[in-house]
Amino acid sequence: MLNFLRTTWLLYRTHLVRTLRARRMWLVAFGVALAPLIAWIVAQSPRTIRGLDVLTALGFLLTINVMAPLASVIVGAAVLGEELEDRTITYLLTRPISRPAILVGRWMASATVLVALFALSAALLGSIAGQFPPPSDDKYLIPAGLTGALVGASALAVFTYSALFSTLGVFFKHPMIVGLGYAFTIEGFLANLPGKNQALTIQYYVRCFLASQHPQAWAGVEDVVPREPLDAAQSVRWLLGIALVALAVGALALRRKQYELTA
Amino acid sequence: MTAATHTEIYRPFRGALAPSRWAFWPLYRAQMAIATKRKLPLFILFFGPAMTGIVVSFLAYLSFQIEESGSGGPLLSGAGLAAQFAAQLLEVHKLIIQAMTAARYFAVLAMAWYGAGLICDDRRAGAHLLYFSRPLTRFDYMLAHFATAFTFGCFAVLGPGLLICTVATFNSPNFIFLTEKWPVIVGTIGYSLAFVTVLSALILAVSALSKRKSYALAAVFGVFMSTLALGGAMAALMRERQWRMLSLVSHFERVADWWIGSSRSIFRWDPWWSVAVLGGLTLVSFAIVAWRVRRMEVVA
Amino acid sequence: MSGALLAADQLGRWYGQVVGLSDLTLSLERGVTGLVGPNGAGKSTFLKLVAGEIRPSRGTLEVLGLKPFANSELFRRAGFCPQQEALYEDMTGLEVVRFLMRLHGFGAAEATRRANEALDRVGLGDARKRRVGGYSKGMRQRAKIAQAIAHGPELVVADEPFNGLDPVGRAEMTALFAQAGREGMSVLVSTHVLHEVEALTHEIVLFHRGRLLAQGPVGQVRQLLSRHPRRVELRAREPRRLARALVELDFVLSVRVAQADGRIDVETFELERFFEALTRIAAELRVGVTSLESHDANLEAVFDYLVA
Repeated sequence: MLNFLRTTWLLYRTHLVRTLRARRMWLVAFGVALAPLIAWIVAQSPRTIRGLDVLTALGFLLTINVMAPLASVIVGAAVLGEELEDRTITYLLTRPISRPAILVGRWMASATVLVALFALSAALLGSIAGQFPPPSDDKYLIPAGLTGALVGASALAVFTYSALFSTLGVFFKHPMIVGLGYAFTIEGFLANLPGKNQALTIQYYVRCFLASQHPQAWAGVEDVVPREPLDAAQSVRWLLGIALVALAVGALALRRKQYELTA
Repeated sequence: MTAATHTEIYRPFRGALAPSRWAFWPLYRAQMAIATKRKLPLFILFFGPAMTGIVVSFLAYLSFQIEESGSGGPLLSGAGLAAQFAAQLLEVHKLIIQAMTAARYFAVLAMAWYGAGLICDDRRAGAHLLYFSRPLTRFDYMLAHFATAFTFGCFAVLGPGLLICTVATFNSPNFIFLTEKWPVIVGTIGYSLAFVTVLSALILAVSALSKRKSYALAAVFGVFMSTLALGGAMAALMRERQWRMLSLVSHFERVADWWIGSSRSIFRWDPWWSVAVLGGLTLVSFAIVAWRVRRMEVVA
Repeated sequence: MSGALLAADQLGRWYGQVVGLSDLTLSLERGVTGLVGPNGAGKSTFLKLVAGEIRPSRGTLEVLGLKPFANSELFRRAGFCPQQEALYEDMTGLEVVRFLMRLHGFGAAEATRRANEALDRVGLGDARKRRVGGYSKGMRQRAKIAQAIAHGPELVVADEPFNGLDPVGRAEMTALFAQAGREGMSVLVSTHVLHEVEALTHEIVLFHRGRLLAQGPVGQVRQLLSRHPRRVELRAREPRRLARALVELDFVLSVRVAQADGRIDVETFELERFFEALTRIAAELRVGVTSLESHDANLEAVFDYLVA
């Protein structure tokens, strides 16, 4: 256990530095910054636009729906996928370390960066949306705590997605393709179909988390409010549970996994 | 043997190339052979488009069958029958557009999978050094790569489209779908080829700019999905549908509506704008590929 | 069995339908051992199995008395230099080795000290603070060797460690492994360049097409190959006279005199008796033997005979 914790911490620190240095992070940072950037551009428009609409439309359609899975797949798939693609995993797998720590430590570093970026982006979006002129009708005021809910939902989304996509790296040689396929074809399809099958997607729980707190605020954005939403606590439990189960499955599989790397 | 030194880093090919324009063919064939060697990805990636084509073809078939069995009665006048067929043919348009829409993401996935690594993997493996030491021009090299992505795109988009048109043709009475609605078939082929051309060029450009296949793959999806989300969000915010012009997908849909002959109220802009945007994107993509390939050759 | 460096029993490993290694039964003592064989012979597969990177498909393998796959105890006592050039491109040479030493459980200061020491030892002292992405092939090989020896292992497993090194580098790394062997470290080195192994050790294991072909000191292996006559090349002042005398010996198979330079090529099955007889004939006839060489006792000849 001590070996696991020690190795996890070491790999976390090293991978955190390497993730921040990596060029793919610029791509991710650009994608994450897109929502506040667009909000700021829209704010310069002479039209009367409601801050609530800016926050909900950009926060959901761009950040939660597209950027969270996309950034998570880019960063998450690299957790093991990069080591496999670069064929450097040999150096880790032939060291006296706890193998699950490789997945957990590196995922923690990726999740730290993603959670920080997305939380910052959502907070910034909320702050910019708050600068819009107040609407004539009070029902379009940004409710207190809505930005916080968006920050929480974004963070939970990338936390869970990145855990899932990191685990895909244990099983697949090209986790990116599997992750993209899952996020945008399978999940994109299932999450938008009416019925119980929505519960098979991460999006469902993130949407439940959002909708459970300020259902009126999200009513204007298509697809956010599921027909049978869970409450916030249940959603969080589900999302954390999915992340932990995914990591546990990946970590257990990695203990006996062998990778056939060619020169 | 006379002693000689070769201190130049790069020696451009100065010989005379064979006049054949088919120098790209062996490279194209080799790439196709490599790509189709592994059957599982092939099955997974083309299962979606294949199923879409089959299901929609079946729907087209079913609609004509139901129509025929319903129209057998003596009570239906000639004009009524013609009106029913016209309505039925219009349904086939919609089915084709639905099929194209449904197969779109599978097509992007399949094309990106087979196309995203074409140039960046060459550069990583140093394979371009082998190619450029042969009498293969940059154009041939680009053409071979483009043809590879294009072929897979055709499998994913043109295949289902043609299947639906074929089923509709053979099941429509007296091949009326072919004789009366041939512009739909032409439109389907044209749209499919345009979609595949634009996307192939875009994928190659991203591949040429990326360090590795997985990043290229993510970037292609990123462009596709983020512009879609951005267009949708902006249209919702500004309450103007024209903002959907930010989305690449919307431009494809606009062209599909125009060429295949349907009209949806969601798009209010002149279709020529979409043609111009997609054409411009293709040209820019080809320019990027040409620039990067030239750099590869020089660095080689 | 546990005293041996390594013991394999009916070891086999295949990749799908491709056989990497087949039915290998082998025992190796501590010391420096060279793994020789052409490309695709199964050397890398064997070393990956020894290093614990992959599992056997069948049979058993013990290294330092331990089953190698995912065995932390073995990883503490062994160092692996893989064949692939891969290293962490965005880190400096020092960062890479230090990071890997930290994974071995060393504290920060000790890991740094060991990393510096190993990098100095492989001749990368000056480049330790340069990013690996800017390293040449030879420098990468040196960095890979550094990470394999930095923790002072009992066994170093090195897969083609001389690839990409210039002649000076090859000589330096050969000397390094030889020195490591003298210091009590066991070394298992694979290569398809035969003279590199000869410079390092006489203990060889020869693979071909996934099977063990021969094992032991090169000279002894050669002696086992009785179906191939030994060739001796002679030069003398009076070659034809000497050749005439040699033809008379019943254990000499053939004698050939080169027209141009008078070189005599002799083939015999009994080398020791031939040398005795030659000494006697040279003294009696005074034909002036100026040189005597037997080229086919070297590794290259052994290899040629075995895989031909």
